[in-house]
Amino acid sequence: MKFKTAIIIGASSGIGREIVRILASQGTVVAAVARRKPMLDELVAEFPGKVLAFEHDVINTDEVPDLFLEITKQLGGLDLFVYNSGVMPEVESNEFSFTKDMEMVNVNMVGAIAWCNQAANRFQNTKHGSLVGIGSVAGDRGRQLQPVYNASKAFLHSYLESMRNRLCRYGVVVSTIKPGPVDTELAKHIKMSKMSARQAAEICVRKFDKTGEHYLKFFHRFAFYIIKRIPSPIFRKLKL
Amino acid sequence: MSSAELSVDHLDRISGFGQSEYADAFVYRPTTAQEIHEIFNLARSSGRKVTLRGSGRSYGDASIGTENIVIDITRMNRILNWDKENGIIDCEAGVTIENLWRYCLEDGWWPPVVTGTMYPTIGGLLGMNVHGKNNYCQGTFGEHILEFDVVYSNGKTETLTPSHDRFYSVISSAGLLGIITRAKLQMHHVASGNLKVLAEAAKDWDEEFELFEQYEHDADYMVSWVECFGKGRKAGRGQFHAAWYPERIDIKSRKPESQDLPPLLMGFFPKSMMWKVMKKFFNRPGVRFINWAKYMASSTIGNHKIHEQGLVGFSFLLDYVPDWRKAYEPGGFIQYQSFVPKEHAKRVFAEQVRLQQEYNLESYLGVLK
Repeated sequence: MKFKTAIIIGASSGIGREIVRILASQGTVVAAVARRKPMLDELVAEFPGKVLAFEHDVINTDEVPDLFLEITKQLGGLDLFVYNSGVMPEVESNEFSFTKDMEMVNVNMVGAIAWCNQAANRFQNTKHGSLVGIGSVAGDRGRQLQPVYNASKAFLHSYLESMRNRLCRYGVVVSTIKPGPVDTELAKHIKMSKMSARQAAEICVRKFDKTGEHYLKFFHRFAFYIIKRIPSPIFRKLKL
Repeated sequence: MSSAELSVDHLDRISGFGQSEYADAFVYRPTTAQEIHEIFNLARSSGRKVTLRGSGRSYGDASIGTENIVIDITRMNRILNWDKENGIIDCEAGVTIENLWRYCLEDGWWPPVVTGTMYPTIGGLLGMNVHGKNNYCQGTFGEHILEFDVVYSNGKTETLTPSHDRFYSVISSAGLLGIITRAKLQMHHVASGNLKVLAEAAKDWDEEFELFEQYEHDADYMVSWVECFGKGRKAGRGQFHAAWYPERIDIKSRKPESQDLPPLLMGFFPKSMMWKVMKKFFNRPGVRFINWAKYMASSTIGNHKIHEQGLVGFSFLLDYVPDWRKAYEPGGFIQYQSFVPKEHAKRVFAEQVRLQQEYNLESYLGVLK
């Protein structure tokens, strides 16, 4: 067991839910934070004493400081913090919806700042811990589809890189994980071959104590190494 | 100091002296009794427990508490009054043994009971009611206290003297009854800053105990190092030290600069680097070799001889190598202290060491007092 205690934000479904299940089965005491309490209660029932459920919507950033203190008190410390919340509403290629875009900004970016700042401040003082953000390969390049989703993940990568550069001198691990398509609610409208959430979570958990940016597959790392380097005049003519 | 709300800015990672246990806690360093009240109120309003901490020199987890509020008294370190005619010092609880001897030794006074390191605070010494190498004749630290102030969690402050019922309850209560904020201590008069030290090699448990009994009514300090790797006829071998306060007045040796521990080993090797060398030897074969070499040296060099040694050098063995605890990283170490009645001591200690050897878990350092 690498981590005695952990907080997972966005734990009710998808990769977050599987991360909770893997960590809890390894013996970690996990605080599962999400909007949908009934789904958290299933996790609590599955791992009694190992999973603590906290109902919270990350857009309510005012609640974060007090809730963070309460969670760390109940956990009795904090070794791992994972910000996994993310939304990607279906956006048509000719659609510009401010409502959908603001939802992504609030969940993927503002919520991440509210929570990760708390965790970073704590880890800076306690001089240990892993701060993990689940980004996306989508953040590597501004593509035609999902402009704001791409931008929100690019923000997260850049924000966590700054955190990494700030916190490495205190012995804190900051890990950015960039999954590709995974079979979850978030990506239900994507029609590509997808990795299962369980498989993605298993790879994520192995990266939690490794500082840096991580892809889930070697193929992704290779493909996005090239995609990132395609000159813009050519890139805009492609359907990527 | 503002202590109105619990702040992540106060979070810190703290450990016990053995560094085997760590905790993340909210550390507050009050300077007055009023601030201690405020911290108690904060603990109530935030539903957190309170842990007391001085210099963090308790070996285990006494001074740490995960997610607790930790009251660290090291900033309450003022010496309030010094009566050098009678050797009575009045000071706040965060004053350390080092502060005491640096302040009083020039006037010919030494703390009556000291620990193996000079960094513990008066508050910690009283909370744990520590003993020293003179426990058989001077008892514990708490027996030399004339009065102290205690702050209770209900907000009351009280001055206690030995005539109060609660006096000896609060001493050695590990702070559970209240926080000691000030104490008045009777120091011990010394003519010289040095001690006359006798070194005797002991070849087994029988000799160890005979030496203690021989000097019990005579020596001012007695301590013995025990080599925990010795088996059979060599079991319990070690080196016994007895020490006496000289009667001859020696003003020069009482000055702090003549007491300071030298920064170099054998005149050339910086002691600040020693722990790195020690770390290479901190495994069973390495420590077995060091123990064997130390015993061989003690049974040949300077055996049965009396030499003069500074009070600081003799008393604070644990401060002799700076950062020696790093040699035990990353796991830290655990200290076992067994108090055994005299009639069973030899049998119990011998059995403890034998059990250690059976499980290949020999203590790297053994001490008999």
